[in-house]
Amino acid sequence: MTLTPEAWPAPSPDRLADAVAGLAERVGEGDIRAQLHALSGVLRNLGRESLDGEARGRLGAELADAVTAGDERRTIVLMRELARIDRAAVRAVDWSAASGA
Amino acid sequence: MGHGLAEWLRGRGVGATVEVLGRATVGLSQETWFVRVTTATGDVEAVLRLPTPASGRRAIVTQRMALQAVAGTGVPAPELLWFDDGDQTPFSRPFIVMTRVAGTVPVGWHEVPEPTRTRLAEQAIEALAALHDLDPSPLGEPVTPGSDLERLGRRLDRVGPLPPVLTGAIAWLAHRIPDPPVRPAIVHGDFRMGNLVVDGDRLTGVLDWEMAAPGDPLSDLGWCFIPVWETAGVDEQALVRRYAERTGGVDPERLHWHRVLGYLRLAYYALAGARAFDGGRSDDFRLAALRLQLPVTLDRLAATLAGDPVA
Repeated sequence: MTLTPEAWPAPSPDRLADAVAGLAERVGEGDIRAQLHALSGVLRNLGRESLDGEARGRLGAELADAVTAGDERRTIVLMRELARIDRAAVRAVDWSAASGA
Repeated sequence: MGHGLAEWLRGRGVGATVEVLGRATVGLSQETWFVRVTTATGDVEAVLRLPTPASGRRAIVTQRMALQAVAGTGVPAPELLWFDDGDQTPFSRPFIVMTRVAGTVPVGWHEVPEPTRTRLAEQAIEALAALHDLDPSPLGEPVTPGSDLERLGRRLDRVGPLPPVLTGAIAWLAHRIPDPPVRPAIVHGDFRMGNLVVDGDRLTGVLDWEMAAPGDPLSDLGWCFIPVWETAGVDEQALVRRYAERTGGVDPERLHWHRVLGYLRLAYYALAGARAFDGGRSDDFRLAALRLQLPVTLDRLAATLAGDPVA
């Protein structure tokens, strides 16, 4: 028999996000609907910020060195790489829905 | 709320009843209420705006001054009906009442289909050029690009350790601060689709004047193309050319600097919003979600600096 390390299995962020987005669509009040869509976006991204932590740390340190050294060309190259990694980890928020439009 | 405003009007010789129709759901700072003011001459659909602790009372006073400065010009804006800059009001804070402009406010340009999008974008550029042609002196001393960067830098310092990409952008901006503009203008401060009212294919009003100040007009031009949410999908080069024809020219390097500064500002909003939620100063989930827009903004900033297309 395999035991899970947790006392109970946590729901996945995606499942929670889908449920909250579904709830949002059943709400009549625009303000509440917008809030629920925003919450759905937050839930969908829980835990994702830690992706590629090692590469982020290395690039961040190299970027800090380049800025200190005044090496502008290298600074921009490293900014581009680091920003690309961070953006790739994010699941887009539906801002049209979350803005209450 | 409605009774308080009616009493205030009565104190100024205006007999009126005020019906509160609802509260706007869009907007993260000030309180915005839709009201109907009925006087002897008829009904007026109006908007009551109040400051919040997040916006500060100054935001309402600035908005009042800006609306007065653009009144009767070619800039489409709500008409200021009544205001009180003091705290001795029915709401214990300053307020303005302005006409409700007919139309809707799309979240971004991407939400408007072509060819309406291009037509509206052209009208927006015309309105911006008209705004920048007005005398800015009633709004005070001009803000220079250097002081703009310095102020933003101080704000960023207050939100805690910065992402390395932002540190790189600040260093880039600090090495290239443009001279003060030869001809300062009234800068709206948040001129973008989310603050424009449209009615079909007609731009009917520019909203949210609380950040208006005299300054470098190209800061507005740079900001209006920065994607707050989705990319705009407008022909930016053609629109900049149009603006240049109306105003006498655009310095591309200066515009580029302001564009990078605009991304820095957008990143600040994301960080400050997330901080307000984390610190318990707001329970607005949209502020919590703003942190997820930060990596998108930083990627666009880095692409802009590298001369790559912004996606």
